[in-house]
Amino acid sequence: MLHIPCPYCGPRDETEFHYGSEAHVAYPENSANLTDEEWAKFVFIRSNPKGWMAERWVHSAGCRRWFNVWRNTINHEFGPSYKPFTQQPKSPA
Amino acid sequence: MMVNLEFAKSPLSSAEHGSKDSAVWMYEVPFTPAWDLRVEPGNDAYAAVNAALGLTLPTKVGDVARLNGACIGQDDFVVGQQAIIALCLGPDWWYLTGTADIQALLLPVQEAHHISFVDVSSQRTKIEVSGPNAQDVLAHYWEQDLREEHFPIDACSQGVLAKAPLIMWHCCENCYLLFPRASFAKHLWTALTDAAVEYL
Amino acid sequence: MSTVTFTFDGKQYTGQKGESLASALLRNGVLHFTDSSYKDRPRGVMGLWVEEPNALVNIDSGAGEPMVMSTTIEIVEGVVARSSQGVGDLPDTRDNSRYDKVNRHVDVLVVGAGTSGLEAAKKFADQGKSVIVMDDKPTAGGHLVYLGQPVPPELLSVLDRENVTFLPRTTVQGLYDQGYSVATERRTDHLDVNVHTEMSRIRTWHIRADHTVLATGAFQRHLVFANNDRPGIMLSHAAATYVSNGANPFRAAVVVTVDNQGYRDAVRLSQAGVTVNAIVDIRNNPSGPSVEAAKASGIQIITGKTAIDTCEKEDGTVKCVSVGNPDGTEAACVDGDLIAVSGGWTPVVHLATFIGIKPTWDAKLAAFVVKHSDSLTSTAGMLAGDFGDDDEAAIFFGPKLSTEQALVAFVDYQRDATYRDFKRAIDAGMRSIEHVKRYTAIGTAHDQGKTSGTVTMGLIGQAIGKAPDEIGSLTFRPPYISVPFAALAGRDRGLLSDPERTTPIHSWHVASGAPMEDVGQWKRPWYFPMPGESMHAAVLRECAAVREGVGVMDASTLGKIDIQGKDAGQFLDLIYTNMFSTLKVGMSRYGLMCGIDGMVFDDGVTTRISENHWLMTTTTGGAAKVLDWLEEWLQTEWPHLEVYCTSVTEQISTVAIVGPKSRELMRRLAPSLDVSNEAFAFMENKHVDVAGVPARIARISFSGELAYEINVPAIYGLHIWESVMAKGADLNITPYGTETMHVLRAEKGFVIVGQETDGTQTPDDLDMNWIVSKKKDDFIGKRSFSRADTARDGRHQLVGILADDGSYVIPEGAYIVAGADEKTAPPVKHIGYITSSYDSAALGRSFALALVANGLARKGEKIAIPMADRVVTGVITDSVFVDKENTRRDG
Repeated sequence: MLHIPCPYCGPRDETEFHYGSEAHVAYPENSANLTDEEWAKFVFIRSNPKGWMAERWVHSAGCRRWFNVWRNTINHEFGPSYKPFTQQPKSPA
Repeated sequence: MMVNLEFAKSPLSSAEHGSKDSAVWMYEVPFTPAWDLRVEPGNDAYAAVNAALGLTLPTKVGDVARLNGACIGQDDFVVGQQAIIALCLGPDWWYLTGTADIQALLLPVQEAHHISFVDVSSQRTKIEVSGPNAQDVLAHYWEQDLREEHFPIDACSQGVLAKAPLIMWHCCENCYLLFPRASFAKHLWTALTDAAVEYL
Repeated sequence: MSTVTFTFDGKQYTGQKGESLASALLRNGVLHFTDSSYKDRPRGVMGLWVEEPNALVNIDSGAGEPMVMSTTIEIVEGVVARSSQGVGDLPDTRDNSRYDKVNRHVDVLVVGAGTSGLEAAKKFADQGKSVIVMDDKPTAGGHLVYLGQPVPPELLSVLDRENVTFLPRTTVQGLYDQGYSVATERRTDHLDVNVHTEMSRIRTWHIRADHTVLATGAFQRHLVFANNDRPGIMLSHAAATYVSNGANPFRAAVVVTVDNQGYRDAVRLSQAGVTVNAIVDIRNNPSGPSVEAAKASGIQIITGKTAIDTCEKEDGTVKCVSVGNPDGTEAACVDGDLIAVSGGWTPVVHLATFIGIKPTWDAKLAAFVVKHSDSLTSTAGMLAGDFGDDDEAAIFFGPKLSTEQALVAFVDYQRDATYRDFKRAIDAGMRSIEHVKRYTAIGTAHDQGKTSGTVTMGLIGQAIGKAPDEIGSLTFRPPYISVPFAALAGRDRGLLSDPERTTPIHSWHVASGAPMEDVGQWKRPWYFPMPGESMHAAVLRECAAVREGVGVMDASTLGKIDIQGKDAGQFLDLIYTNMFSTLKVGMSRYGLMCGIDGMVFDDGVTTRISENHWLMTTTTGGAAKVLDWLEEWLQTEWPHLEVYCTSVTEQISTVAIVGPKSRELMRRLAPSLDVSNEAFAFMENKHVDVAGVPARIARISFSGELAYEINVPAIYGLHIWESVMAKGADLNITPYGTETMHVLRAEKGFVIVGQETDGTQTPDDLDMNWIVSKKKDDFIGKRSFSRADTARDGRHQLVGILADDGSYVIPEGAYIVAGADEKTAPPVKHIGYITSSYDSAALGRSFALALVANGLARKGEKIAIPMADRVVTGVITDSVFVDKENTRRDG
């Protein structure tokens, strides 16, 4: 059971959160002008790294905020969490 | 909004379990008015809300501010005609309850500022759990840290108790107020009374 | 100690209260506990505690439990046990014991209350930390308790401190990431055999600790020689402990050892009155205080030799051991009814390996140890390699054996896996412990290789000439010992297994006898049968009542989200496929939401309450995910929008009155309201008092009929429902449930998200192109509608299906194949499937909705549906079956 550091509420049990996939994948502003390939890349393709990854979670059962957090996909270790539109902390790697 | 007691029915029909002198005592506190308030801290709207309510909304999630409010047991969980309890649920989100006419206080603010102010009196009911073993009963289901230094008096938290989402307010010594969503109230009551078996 | 009576295999014995069942049986001279699982060989007790591979029993008293280790049962008056030949035997009776769970956060969790665990507890307690100490045994002290020595008071008293909690009889079953542990505490079995209904029998602890100290100690392991499994062959430490406590069925012993532990145990045996005929040590030059002590007590010491084989008495227990060179030569018998084996210590590395810490091989100790210390986890005591100064061991696991001997030399007792089995794995090319384990089943029994794991790794090393750490590493998985499912389930069973969400009107539904349908966690009335009425008849009656008179439904479960802010209209335009910003105040509009992939995600009606105030409804099951979705876009993409969302699902109770006579009923409920179609149009909202409480009435219809939804604060929900029933009595008002709602909407071709959709349907696929705005620059999903795959020919599209036999209701999910004449036996290509299927009162026949490839262009085509017992034929139709012109909704 992961203990996820919500930047507003502190570490909480995984059951209180929903996963939001990779962080920093912005919705394209000019979606109509994108080629099918560019659009498909946005919709379907994520980096899925082995190791440290910045990802999004929402604290659904708590403060209801979406936030970003570094997590190591190898051993589930969490790095710093941070609010959207704030400076991304360096990868703990 | 005044509650018309002739027609109203609370989710638990004012259920009670244990008694004032038992190791754990719990009961529903029905029909307490409540509002969900959303406003951005630091801006004019926030200042206007504070001025209207006569208290400063805490900005740290989990903090509680009260105006005249106290937890003193059944039938009267807030005292004073103008009591307001403000639980900070999110960085721009408060749960307001109390005996003051909060609606009348905030309506003028809503007309002038970008705030959201929603009557949620029926959305949740309230269950008070008190007594020497109150914390033990809650620990059967509550995954968060209940230790005094991490969840002191006048801390609040949202989470899941027996899989039911709720707000918990540590309102005074050995006493917790739970604000479960109404649809989960019966389930939660079953779970709480079951967890109390060993202490009663 | 008081004396208690217990029963084993139908025979009564007495023992000392609190001693283990194994100890009590030895005290009574019982050596042969059971027979082995597969080879029916007589077996006795080997060990002291949870490492025991042989002496399993079924407990028939108290709560009853299959396959428990007799070494771990504390006997109380009236315990009834039965030997178990390795296969559990579940009791027929229901276990009425209570099992529960407790969550606890703590600064430091210490696992193991032996000397090193207590020292760690003291260190942290002195620093003012909160500490929980867990030990799976009944008392603290670890090794010292077995040795009968007092625990130093300055250590024992730590457990009494205010900031320290000691949980005896508590087994840490799993250690996970971030200091999370799960432990089970045995709370009542040692009190008496009766089931305690209030105190839980087993409590599962969920612990979050900032730091976890693993002081789990070690188990002794055996050696692999021929006939090493006879009753009377035991681990030396276990034998010496039982015998020292007076459980002594033995006269003469031979100690076979690889380390100095054997010497200490030999002295203890000797002091307890057992004649030690010899200590047989594989080492050539043993030394150290323990060796000297054994010499001083006059015990014969044979060095450089080991056990090769044993012989048995008539009753199958051991009679003597043949002692020879490690290559099996020069073997000669030494008598002993106890062969006490000291094969070295195996630290309990389980918990450490659960979180990925790799044990390291300590050649001096001949053991895998875990020396680890970081902010989350540290190790202490024997686990960390602290064996004391008198414990060098030979790296030796068993002698060279002949083929015949190998057949009866056991590596894993419980699995009856022999050296021969092991050798076959090696000869077949296995080298990794993981491969050998799977090839031989070694380490897969109830004990999960607690004794056999290191032995196997050592044997692989011996066989291929490598050190054990070159073979690999020991890894284990939770739980540490077998645990009843009931303990893990705790109170999460029956009613408490999952929340039942109920509406304010639920008690009325229950009282009326309506069966409930599960919709997510919600309990919704399925249908309201009259006495003796079948579901089929009830639903037809309810449907007819709605289409011809008036029905009433509890719609309180719909998700509801209050949306406020000046940009709410703009926001809804981005969220929904259709336009909302142009909606007039007081009006409602149906909307469809798609994901970025263009697939339908949720739907519902949204109402503009005032200029900047909206109320969205979602599907019953979609409320939480839609709110997450809205917040996601507001918080992470469009924070500049001034919009706030608040869940009000339970704030508002909704009672829908539906049917041609609903206007008359609405008039009665709110006499001040002008209910004419001119004054109160379709999709309009009115605020008015209904039966004395403030309500919002919405002219929304999910059936195609004239309908009014009465929305009130939920505390008045039941009152409104009862008022509706009272005022509608002479109109023959008919309560209806989810089944009728489904039939009525399907007759109108209205989809249900999650029934007609599975996350792969676009609005076009659902024949709902009308709801996709062509004016808006962008909305979520728009760009995906022109992707090659979503725009392609041949997608599954929503159509109606009428079976040729109108009395037949096609099962939902049934596959459709093209053309009535085509081959219908497999293999055959399907063109779609049935999503909804009902009998219809309005049509007087069955009908169905389906998703069919290119379905919209195939209306009128014949289809076939191959079922197990028949082939159903039918025709593709439009998806709207009733009132295609929408004339009924205005009454």
